Amino acid sequence: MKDSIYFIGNAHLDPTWLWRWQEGCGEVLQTFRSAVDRLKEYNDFVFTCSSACYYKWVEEIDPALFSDIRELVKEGRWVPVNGWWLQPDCNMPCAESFARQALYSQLYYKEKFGKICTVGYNVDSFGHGAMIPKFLNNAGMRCYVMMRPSAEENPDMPKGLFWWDSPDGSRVLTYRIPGSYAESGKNAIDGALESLKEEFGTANHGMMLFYGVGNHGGGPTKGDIEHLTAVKNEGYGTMKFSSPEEFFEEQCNLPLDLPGWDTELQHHASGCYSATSLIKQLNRKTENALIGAEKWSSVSSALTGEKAATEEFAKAWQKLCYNQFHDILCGCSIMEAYEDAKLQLGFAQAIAQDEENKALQIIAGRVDTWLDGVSDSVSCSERHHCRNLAYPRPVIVFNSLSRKVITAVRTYHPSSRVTDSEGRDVLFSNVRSSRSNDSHEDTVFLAEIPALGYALYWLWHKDSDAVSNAPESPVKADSYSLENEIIRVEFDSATGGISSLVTKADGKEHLARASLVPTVIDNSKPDTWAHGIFSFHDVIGTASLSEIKVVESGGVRGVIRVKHTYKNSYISQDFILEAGSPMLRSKVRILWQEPLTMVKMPVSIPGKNPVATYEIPGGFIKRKANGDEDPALTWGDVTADGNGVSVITDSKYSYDCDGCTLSLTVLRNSIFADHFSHRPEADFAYCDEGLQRFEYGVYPHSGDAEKSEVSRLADLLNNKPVAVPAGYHKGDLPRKKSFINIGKDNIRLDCFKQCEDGSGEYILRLSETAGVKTKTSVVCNLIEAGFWADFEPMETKTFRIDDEGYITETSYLE
Amino acid sequence: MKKIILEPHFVRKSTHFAFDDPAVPASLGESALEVPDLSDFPLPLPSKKSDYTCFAKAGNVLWLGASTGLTRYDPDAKYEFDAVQYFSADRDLKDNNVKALLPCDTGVWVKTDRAVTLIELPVMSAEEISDVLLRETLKYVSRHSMISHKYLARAGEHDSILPYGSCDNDGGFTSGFCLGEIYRYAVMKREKGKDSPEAKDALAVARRALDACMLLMYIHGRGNGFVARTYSTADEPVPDDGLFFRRQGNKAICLETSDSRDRGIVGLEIDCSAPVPDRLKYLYEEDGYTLDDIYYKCDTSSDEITLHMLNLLFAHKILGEDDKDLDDFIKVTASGIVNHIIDSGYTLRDYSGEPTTWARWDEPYFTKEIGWVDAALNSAEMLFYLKAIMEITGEEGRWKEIYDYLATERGYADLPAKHFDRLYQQSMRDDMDPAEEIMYGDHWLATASLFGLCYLEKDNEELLEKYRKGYKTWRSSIAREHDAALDFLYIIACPGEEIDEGRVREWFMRANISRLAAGVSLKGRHDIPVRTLRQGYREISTLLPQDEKFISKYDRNPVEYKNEDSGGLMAIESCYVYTLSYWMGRYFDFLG
Repeated sequence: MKDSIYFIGNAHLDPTWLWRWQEGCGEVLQTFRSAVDRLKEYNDFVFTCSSACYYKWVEEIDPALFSDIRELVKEGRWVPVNGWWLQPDCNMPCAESFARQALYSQLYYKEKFGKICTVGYNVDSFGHGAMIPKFLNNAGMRCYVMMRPSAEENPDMPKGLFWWDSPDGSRVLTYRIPGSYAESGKNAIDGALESLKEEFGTANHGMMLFYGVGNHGGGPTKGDIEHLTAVKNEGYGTMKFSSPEEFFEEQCNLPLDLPGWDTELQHHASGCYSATSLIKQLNRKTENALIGAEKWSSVSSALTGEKAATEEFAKAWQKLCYNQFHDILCGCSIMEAYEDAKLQLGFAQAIAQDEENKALQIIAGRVDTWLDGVSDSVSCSERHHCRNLAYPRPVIVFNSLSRKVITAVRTYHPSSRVTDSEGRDVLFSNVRSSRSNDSHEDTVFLAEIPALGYALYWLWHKDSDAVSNAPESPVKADSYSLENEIIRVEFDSATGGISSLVTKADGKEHLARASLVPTVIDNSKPDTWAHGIFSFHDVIGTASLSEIKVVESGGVRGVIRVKHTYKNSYISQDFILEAGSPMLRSKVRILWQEPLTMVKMPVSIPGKNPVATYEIPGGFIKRKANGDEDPALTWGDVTADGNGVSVITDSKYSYDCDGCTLSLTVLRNSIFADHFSHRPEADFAYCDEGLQRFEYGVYPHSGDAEKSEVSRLADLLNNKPVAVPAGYHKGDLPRKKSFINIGKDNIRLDCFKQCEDGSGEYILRLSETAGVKTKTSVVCNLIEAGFWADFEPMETKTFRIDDEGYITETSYLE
Repeated sequence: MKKIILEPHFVRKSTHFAFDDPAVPASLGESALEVPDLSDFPLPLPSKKSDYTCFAKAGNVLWLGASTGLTRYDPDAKYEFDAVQYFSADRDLKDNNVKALLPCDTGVWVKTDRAVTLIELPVMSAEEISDVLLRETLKYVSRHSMISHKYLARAGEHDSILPYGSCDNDGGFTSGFCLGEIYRYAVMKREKGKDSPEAKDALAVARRALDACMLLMYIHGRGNGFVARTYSTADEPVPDDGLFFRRQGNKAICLETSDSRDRGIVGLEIDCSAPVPDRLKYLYEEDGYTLDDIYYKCDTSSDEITLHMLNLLFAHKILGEDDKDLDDFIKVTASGIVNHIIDSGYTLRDYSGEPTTWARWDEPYFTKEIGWVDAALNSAEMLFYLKAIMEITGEEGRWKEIYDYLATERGYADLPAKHFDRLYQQSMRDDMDPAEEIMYGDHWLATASLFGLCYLEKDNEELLEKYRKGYKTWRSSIAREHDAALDFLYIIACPGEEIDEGRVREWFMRANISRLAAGVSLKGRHDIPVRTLRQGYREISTLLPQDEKFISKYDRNPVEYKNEDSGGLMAIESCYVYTLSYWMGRYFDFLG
């Protein structure tokens, strides 16, 4: 009730942090045993514990203990919370990852305990994206417990209970823990009680006290329980051993008039968005690999009638969910933990690759690629598929996105001509391959591939007599400039930066000064998390230009290579401009060897009143252009006076926008798990030391970022089409086909999969991306489904399609 | 918002024939079109592809008949909402099993299990639709000049209309109807002149409806500003729904109903000696009735008062401008209502001197469990009444003092912003989805009071901002309807907010030409996802065009999953959902 304090016995369990996962697993087993013992000893005691992953470990390793827990759950004394796999970082996983955190967990809870969790619970996560209420509501949770940022870190946020809304209309009743999630020992508990009484003395609701040894597990001690038992009769209102579920339920019976909050909950550990590039890249690549592979597996299943690899994908997703744990994905665990992450996410990516390849080969095998006469070939070289000089090679290009794409696609042989499925010549270039063997050349050609579909292209070998009738290339590159039909880029000969970026249609210059010169920031003061530090602008140098040269010009693209050095490190960027693309892409190779530094790529635009916009999990957000380090997913943007530049990445998560300058943070080379910068003399290991490769794009536009093409371009940069060389065969599928047609460009297909229940029914998950209310048609003739749906801004809807194509709108839980 | 030009658009007209009717073309069913390939059909189809059995082509338009209804596909449609249309029983067809199709100059002949139907698609302007609907309403729906709805003895047949049938909200609905006619008058006066036949016609309809509303404020003979819900005459049956008093001389006697029995007041006599103003008597006398023939319904709710006050406000502004006598009468009548509420401790006081069940604007009610949620709406209503009466009378006096006191000292102006929070909390308490807690009838009440407050509060910026904030807390719920009138008033009150112009266009262009509440079928629809809410309530995932969804005045969930293909609702409803929106849109220059 209003003046009640609810004692929440818990054990904060970090399964990986300053230890590896195997130790974390042991920690879970010991903590769970201890909690069961305490529950048997103290009749009033109630234990709360999150994370389906932990329960699954216990179930598999200690079935007897798990059986005890099931009984205690039934009695209401052991309370599972947070219908997620564990307590992930809440800024960097993509929306589909949050869906899977919930899907696998809530189904597990339902199966094992007969009910799902109704309370979300991420007490240690380092800040919470603005769409978390959506993720919770879609998973059956309407209440939330969080702690970071603290009142000192963000004094504007409401204390205690408040309504937290996301732009799609989702809402969670949220409790912000005022002190710690792990009070233990008489003094700590008494102190926490006193501050609760002071802090909430005038509040119109009750409050929760979280107690129990935590971080490395442990849970409530006998001393804690006995002390609270003694205290609860002393007379501050009502005190009781309880759970978050009971707390929220009872608060809802009060006439609450609570404050509201309608944006993100930030910041706590601003260095975590960039520390340890390896795990960031692994996370993004694994997410994209699984989402794409699952779509193709589903398409293949629908075509063949075979079941999709749902169980395999579940295993892979669970590995990914685990490695989104906040101390892992935030890059602040020990170095050895990332060796484990590489293995686990490699396992997940391998599943994705296997299943995708299987599916694409099945689909490709059904496409009609037959050419009359091809079987009459007589010579060995003609029959050799890669080097058939008489007939073009069929290559089927697959696009997993729900929007049509036009982009350059690479295959690993040179060509003299490329035509599309209807025989029209298309632009292509023979470009330097990664190998030194054979011809040293690959073909890059401009492909147009329909939404979640494929297109067949014909490639004549370079040694054949075929002559291309492709249109004149719109791409030109010379020493210091690159241009296509849409944009013109100029490079600064002194710095190697980009000095001009003009959109040709309106003649607008989008840069205020030379941009994208690698800039080095002092990172010696912050710890790995950057506790207490929210912006990084202490510039200690810029990288020096060592070489700039034209690598490719004409055909399908132009490429200029720019090399920089800084002390013992180098940065090489291939700036690539494709025909028809509004985005300049950079393929980056960095060998970094400078301890305690950060590297940023700044872009400065002209104008006043800049607005910073970023993609975040499940939507986008507008933030102040105040120079704070901010988390984002695939793109960040600065727009002023109606014109802007977006920076799109395939593996980075950290930006700052200081006035009209948007900087992508490409690495942050801190000491591994350097907590509060306590640094004894030692030969430390650094989390962003060594070689890394990644890509980013720069996209100039007019109007609001979210309504521009940035979302489409970001999807494309992160999900490149896959080219599958095919054989010559007859087939029942046409040479170009889309498996889905979504009427509105701002509705994105997040997922196409089969249901977890083995029914063979399909799940389509769709999200609005531009922040506008939208009605759209969706047609997926593959599974006989076609329907209309309305979306709120940034809303996600999940649809279940039965075997007759009838549609049910459901949730993440299917 | 840019003015929307509504192009003339076709409406649906169905005429049913017996199989052997000579009008039915003999060739119907004889010529079969080759089955088109639907495997890559680019848009959602209302029926499952395998349900389609017959096809017909008229130009580029393809008609597709299925065992679950009829589909029209126009690949050249200018608007997305026109490309694929669905026709179903009972509104468009006798049943949904389409067996043969034959295009004709005006539409298509459709053979189904039970009949042959000629579906014609005459093109009409929005104004013509408005006029047709108005005439239908006046002919079939009007009861003692009150405009609500009427029931049918036989589904879908106008001729079987029952002459009686009062409604709980006759007063409120008639006010809504009246308001549309007031706007029509204003538009016609502006565009064609006060003495034009169009303006005169609108004025006559509006005046009669206004009088019907104002009669409810006197018909009970209590003389204290109370407002009756509705009234009936002795030759109409007494519904077993609520409390009714039959006038007999200077006494009114409580009639027997379940409610009156429960309260133990059957036969209770109360005073009804206050006179009915002469100017209103014609409403019953022209049909040969006297006051002794009348029984009225009490236990009136806040709904009625709110809609009456909005109507009186614009009646004063538009009709009162040309008719001082009328304006004076409006002032007296409206003052009576508001003074009654104030003098009754911010309640509507009924026969016993106690508040009615649902007309509570007082603080004690706001602290009760249900009142705590209602407070957000009812506080706005009370402030609106006060602001409106000051505007109507041009006087302030105690109304201003009370307005300031309630708005500021008692916190009434802060309460509207708590609407969604309290509703949401209640939904959590009840383990319901918020959508299951929505009272759709409240949307017009919130709009009337919060639009009214934003429209009238010109002196106090701080209060205005509070009202806008309150209004915005309703928006997500109100916007579920995409009702054009609700949208228009919202953007007038909250500058900078946006509405979906495409939806507005669809709302008018895909209108029903009839308010006959024949049902529509969702059961066979293959293109409409259905979702089940926490307590089992079912909704669809998209708002359907008006001509494919059920008919409703305003108090039903517009995305309710409902199957009304087995007889449908046997009613015909007021046109005002369309006419009010249309003429309001014209009046405020949203529509051209």
